[in-house]
Amino acid sequence: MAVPKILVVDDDAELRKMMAYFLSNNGFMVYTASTGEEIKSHISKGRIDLILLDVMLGEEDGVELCRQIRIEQEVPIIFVSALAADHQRMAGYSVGADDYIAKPFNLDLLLARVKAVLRRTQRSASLAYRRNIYTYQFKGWIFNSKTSEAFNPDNVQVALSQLETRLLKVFLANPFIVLTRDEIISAMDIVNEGHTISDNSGRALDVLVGRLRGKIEANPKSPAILKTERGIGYVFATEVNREEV
Amino acid sequence: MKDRLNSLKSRSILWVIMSMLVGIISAYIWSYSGTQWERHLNRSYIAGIVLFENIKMGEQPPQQIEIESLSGQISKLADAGLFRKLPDVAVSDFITQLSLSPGEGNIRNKNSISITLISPDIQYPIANLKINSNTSLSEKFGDVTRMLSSYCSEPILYMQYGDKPWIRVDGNEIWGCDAAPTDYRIISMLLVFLSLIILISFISNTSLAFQSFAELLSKRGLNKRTGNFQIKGPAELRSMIETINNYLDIEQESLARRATFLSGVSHDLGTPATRLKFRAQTIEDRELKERLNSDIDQMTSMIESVLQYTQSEMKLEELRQISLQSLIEAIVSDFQDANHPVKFIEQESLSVSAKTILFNSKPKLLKSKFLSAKNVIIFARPLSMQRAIINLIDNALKYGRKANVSLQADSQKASIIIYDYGNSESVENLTHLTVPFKRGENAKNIKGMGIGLAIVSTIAEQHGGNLSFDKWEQGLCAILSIPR
Repeated sequence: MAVPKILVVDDDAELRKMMAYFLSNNGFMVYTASTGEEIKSHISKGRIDLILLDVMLGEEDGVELCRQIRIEQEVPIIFVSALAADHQRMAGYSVGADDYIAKPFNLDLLLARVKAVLRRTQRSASLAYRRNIYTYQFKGWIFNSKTSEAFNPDNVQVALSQLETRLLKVFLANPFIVLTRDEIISAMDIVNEGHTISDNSGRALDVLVGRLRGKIEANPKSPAILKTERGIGYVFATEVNREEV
Repeated sequence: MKDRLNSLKSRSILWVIMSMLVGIISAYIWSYSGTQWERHLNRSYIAGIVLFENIKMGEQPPQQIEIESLSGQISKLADAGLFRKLPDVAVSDFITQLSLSPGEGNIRNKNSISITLISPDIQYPIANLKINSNTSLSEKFGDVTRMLSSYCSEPILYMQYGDKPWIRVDGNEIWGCDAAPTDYRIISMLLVFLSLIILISFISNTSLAFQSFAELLSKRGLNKRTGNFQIKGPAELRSMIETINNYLDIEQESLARRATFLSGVSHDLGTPATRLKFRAQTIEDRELKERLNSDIDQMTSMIESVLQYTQSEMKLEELRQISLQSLIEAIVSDFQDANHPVKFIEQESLSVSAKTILFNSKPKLLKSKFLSAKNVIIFARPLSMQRAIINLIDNALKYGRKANVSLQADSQKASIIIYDYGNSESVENLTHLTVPFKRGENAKNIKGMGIGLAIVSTIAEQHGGNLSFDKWEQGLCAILSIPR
């Protein structure tokens, strides 16, 4: 693969320079921008693989810029911001950000997140849920992938853990398709994120599937939605309606 | 104008005037009716006297009274006292007989008078008649006709004065039921009652408006929207609600301003802190680099927690029905997935034990209750609730070794209990920590701002619940109670 091109957007000149230096030292090609205009000109000039976007760009609002970019571009965006409260993260995800890093960050973390997002985008299979813009309906359930909120048939919100959410997204993107444990784990994008689930060949995944069943199945002991396919893996065996938000 | 009419003052004046008017009207009706009645009785009394005198003198009776002398067979029947057999007396008619004599005693003499009353409706209570023995016979007879007029009936009188022949007297135009004036006294009583009922319902409506507003105000934490109550009720209440709305708007505005300000500060600090991180990267001394990094982290986590506290005060989220168990499970799973020693202990038998329930003869029924408690659904702000539980677990991990979470629920409230292991704080100290920017004694070496518990406490209050602490065998436990 060619060297990934990263656009660093921040209104602090020195920080821009430091990030550019750090990322280029780690094998990326880095461009910098400080305004919405500059971002647009960079995007129009050529391929950008990832944007690191500050939420507060002086006068401009990074969230709004993200929304504008999303209208035309599929380019992955990571928000980098000191505004790290829950609502702001939500706001970031809801306009189509792929990740959210709080300032100040550890440099290793920045690198890991950038690599993770790039890896995710390279796989077309996971594109379906990466954009986070669908509302899914199955068996009376509603799952909003934008906000990762699930509502049961009684319209009561049921909270899912982060891994359960990712697992559900994988299944929702592939209804009626039998997925092997390896396929599921790889589509969940949890390799290298320190989760035990990727370590021991599917045992942890079974536990996770059991947990998800406990939440979405009427009777988790004889699942009607998330069925086991003996010797292969799992299948999401129900009609899924997908609506763009 | 409409407002002025709607004020408590004008309302109460209106009510007073209205009830006074109603009182006057019903009093007038009452006395008018009474006078009419008295006149009716007097008229009969006088007619009786006149009639008696006429009979005595053998003159023509007054105009409205018809007199007919009995003759032949009929007269003989009357003489024999066989009134039942008279042609115009029906079988069902009541017959009342009396005789009046002048002076004391009722020994029959030639001046005494025999009266037989024939009525289709009643037997007249002659015994109740208080006849003054000092009065003349005509006055005594007047008392009888007066008594006749006080009942609603159409009596026929057969009379014999002394040895004179029996006569039949029909004076119903004077003492009959139709001649009586309509009695308006019941109507005036009803009027008074009606106006009383209307008045009471007006008053209780008004006081209810105040009461329900007070209730709304006390439940503000569970309000869907942030401020603004609906403006209704009497003018005083309206202006009160308006003032409170204004105050809430101002409070919300100032909270928002504070949040914006803190966001700005936080952001402005974030950039140099990030720069510091990059600069620290170039430091060769590994230990120094790590210390510098942790200093920067501590600084920024302080800023972040201040920001979170401000935001928790602002109630940005909408209330929603949420399955509390799933929320706790999800949070615990997230902690577990990040390799933190956190466990969710499912409550097999909930704290409501059978002996606390009076009728425990049906254990099966009870069990089904426990099972349904597994789906504890509360009305809450999901992100805030999540933040509160995460903070409590974080705390337990920070100050104790590990955290166990359990959920207990009854019909009134749901309690999330976070047990830690080895926390040496006292319950009192922890309770003090729910005030922002306080830290415990043993917190010197642990990063944090002591604002985590203040956030939890604020969130609990916004949900109408509360945060408390208790000791258990191996440490402390935090109890977050939310009404259901």
